[in-house]
Amino acid sequence: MTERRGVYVHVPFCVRKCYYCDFNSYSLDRAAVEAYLEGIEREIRLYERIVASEVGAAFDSLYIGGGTPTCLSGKDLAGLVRRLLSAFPFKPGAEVTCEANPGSSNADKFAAIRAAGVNRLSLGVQSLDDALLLLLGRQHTAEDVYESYRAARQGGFDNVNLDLMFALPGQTARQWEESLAAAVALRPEHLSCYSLIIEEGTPFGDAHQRGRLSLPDEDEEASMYQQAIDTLVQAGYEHYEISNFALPGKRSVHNLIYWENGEWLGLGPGAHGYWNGRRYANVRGPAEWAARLERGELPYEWTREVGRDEAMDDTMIFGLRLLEGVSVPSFARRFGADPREVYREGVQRLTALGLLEAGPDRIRLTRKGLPVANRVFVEFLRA
Amino acid sequence: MDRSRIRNFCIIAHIDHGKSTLADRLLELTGTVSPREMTSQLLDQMELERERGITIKLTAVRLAYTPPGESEPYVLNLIDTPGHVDFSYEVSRSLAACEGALLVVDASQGIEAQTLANLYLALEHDLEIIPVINKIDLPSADPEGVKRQLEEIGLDPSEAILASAKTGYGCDRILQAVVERIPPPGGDPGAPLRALIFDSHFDPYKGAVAYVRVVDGTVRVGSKIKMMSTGATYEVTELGVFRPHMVPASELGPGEVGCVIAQMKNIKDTRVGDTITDAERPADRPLPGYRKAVPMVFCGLYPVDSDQYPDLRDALEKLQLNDASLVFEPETSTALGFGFRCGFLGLLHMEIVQERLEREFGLNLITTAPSVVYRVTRTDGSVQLIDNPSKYPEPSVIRQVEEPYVRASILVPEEFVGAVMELCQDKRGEFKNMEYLTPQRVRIEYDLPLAEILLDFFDKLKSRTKGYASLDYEPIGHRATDLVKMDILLNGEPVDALSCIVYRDKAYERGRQLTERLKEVIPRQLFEVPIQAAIGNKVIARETVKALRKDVLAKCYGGDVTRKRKLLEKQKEGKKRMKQLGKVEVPQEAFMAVLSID
Repeated sequence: MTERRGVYVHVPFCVRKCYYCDFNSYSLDRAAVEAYLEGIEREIRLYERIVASEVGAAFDSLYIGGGTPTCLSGKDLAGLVRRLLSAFPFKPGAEVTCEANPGSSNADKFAAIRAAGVNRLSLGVQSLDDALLLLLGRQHTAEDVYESYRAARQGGFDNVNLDLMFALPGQTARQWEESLAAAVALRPEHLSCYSLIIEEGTPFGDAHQRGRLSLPDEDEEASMYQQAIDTLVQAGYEHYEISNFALPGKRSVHNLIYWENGEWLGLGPGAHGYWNGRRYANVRGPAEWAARLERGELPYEWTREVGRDEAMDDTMIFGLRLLEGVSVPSFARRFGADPREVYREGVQRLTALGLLEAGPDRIRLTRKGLPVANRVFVEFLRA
Repeated sequence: MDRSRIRNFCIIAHIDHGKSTLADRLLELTGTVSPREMTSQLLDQMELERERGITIKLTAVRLAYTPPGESEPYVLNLIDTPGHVDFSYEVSRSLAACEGALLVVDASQGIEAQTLANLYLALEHDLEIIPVINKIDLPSADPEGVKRQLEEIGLDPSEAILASAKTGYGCDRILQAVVERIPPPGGDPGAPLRALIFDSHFDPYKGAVAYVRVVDGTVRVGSKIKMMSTGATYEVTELGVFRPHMVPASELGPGEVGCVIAQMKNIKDTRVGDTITDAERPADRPLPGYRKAVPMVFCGLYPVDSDQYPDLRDALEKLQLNDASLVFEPETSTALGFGFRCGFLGLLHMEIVQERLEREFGLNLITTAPSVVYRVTRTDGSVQLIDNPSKYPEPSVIRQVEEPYVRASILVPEEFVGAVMELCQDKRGEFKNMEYLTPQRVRIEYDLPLAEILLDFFDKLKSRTKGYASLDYEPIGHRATDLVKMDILLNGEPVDALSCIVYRDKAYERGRQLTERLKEVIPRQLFEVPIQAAIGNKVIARETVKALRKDVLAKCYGGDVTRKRKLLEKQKEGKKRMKQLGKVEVPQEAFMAVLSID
């Protein structure tokens, strides 16, 4: 196995939940944090043993996500990072990312986690328009973003990602353009641009159901997406994945693990993982998660073996999210089959429609295929 | 059994006027079912009926009732009747099995056209009518108004019983009236057997089961019987009565109601309206009124997945066991592949069959727009019946086209008369008659093309009269009209399953409406899809479905690969439910779009 491997740790706390978010997060209180830190320690120990038993296992990435990891105190968060880095065999120069929300961190906290080994920071900016930030239920203003960004740089971070969202309720092309321009002016190493997805069970989901959310229509959304691509490519960013842009050499190692269908350990409540051919999801509730660990059990909600066909499909579906696409030789090495043969019919149909390019070396989305990628992916989903 | 202690009756009521609730209450009051067994609307056995709150299958229940001051119980046979215009023939057969009828009228709604039509049917059968003014517990109840209506239609309002089936008020008086006012059955016990089949159903273990009312003679277990319409003979293996579940009986004499089981393999052996007689001592003449059910509405039924074709055939055969009025034959469509042309009594019947096929048999179906049967006379003089628009001949070989007409009878409060007449005119109606039943209530009669009624007439009627109008209609034969075939092209390719026959003067309007509607229903594809309506080679309307511009999950999921996959799987499922026509994916509802245009 030549694929890269990672560790994902979920920190399930937020000061307040944003109106669109359906991620696994809970309000912050001291007792919950204590219980969480104890649970994580137990979970680390279980995996430490498992990983130690596997010869040659080594990790390329550690990712602390949430929730809002920077809800934790600088001391707790730095302690957690140190513990993780010593528990698992990370390769020298491994990417260590921590998510942070503007407004929940300062230069001291950044310096503390930087010192603990975090070398990449991902800021949940979402928008640089105060009215839209308010509408999203975010806890920060555009000014907080600039301040956090400066603090991150002061704290020693030379690899920073900004998350941005578009297709927001009432958002105009003009507003999106301004947010993009403001983000580019900061010159982050990496930018992720996600379109707002309305999820059931969130305040946005409810409002949408009642017809109270005025979202940009499909054409406007498509234009905003194209606008992001044009602006960022123009500014020197490589558009390397459907929603991701990076300065040369600054692609996200951790996300590449997902897209290349590599394996990772997931720790924390609700975390997902993929290890030794099995996918699993941890139980979402922190109390049950902690209780399971206290009994010495892995806190799975479910786990299942991924068959060869499914692994092939996943490799295509996630690999095609990358603009460089799926490498035919590595696919062949991994599965002993040529993807152009395995998916012959779909590849032919999609090529004829001009959505896909299938060369001897790589299979990838065309420019035309990019905005309608789901239509491409379903062709790689076998029953 | 002593005939003087038998009463056979039915309930005539408009949908929602409380027939099923009243039947439930009578069952409960006579102890036929214990409150524990009581499920609401017990007589409506099928799940679908219960959901729609309507009765489509008749059943007969035997109630034992002892009036106050008497010691011996009477046998009351309650024969349930369907309440929809699609099933009027079945209604007439169940009326023929009775001597009396409860006319149930909603105290706040008054008499509806449907009720009136069935009342006239009942009077034709010389039934004793007991008016029941129901739902008098409602604040909006107007029993005096209903009494005036009763008087207008020739009934004695002083005989009306005020009741609330919901609370049980007046229900004992109803039972007493059944005994006192409805005559006991006549009939000749010594004459050869004559029993009227008023319903039937198919039982997988017992075969076809005939529900009968014995008129003359006696049928016994072991008797040899003969169906008078077909001459087929059988030996009776079982007889039963319903209370409400079947209880075996050794014989059924004159005036009695029950079921006959005789190893009849097919529901067609037990045709509603047929007469059962004794095979060894047959009657000279059958009971009057037998009529074969004639389907009025046809549509194509196609499996979305062509592999389901054999399953669809099996399912239709099974349904036909229970539904003698359903007809079908194989047909092929260039667009949809192999399927069946199916005939129904009406639109409701069609919807019920379609729903049962999907629900009970797990089929995923495309239903084409319903069509009536056109009578085409060719230039060579030959006559052809066309129930499928795609089979419509070239205009050059047509000498004359006729389409089926119905006589529609609409009851409406007088303030809506103008609106109703306008609608009928717009639907190519020919005014026949108008009469004031009361100063406020008017009956309007129009002759209308059945095709217009199939389209959206009833919905429009309801919306233009704020729901107050009611409609009844009966076929009155074919009439010559000026029709053309309109084709629909998707992405430049004609789709035979979307062709329809339209009135020439309305062709442009219909073409425009239909293409607009299709544009709403057909989702964006990876390319632009033109939708055209054409008569012959001439395009009369055009719309375009714009190309899909964005369909991509652009959200970070923290490695929740499973969830991303599930979303794609869901999308793939949705795609499977679509029909691929050439390069275009078309959802099922597109084929019914012609029905939902305004």
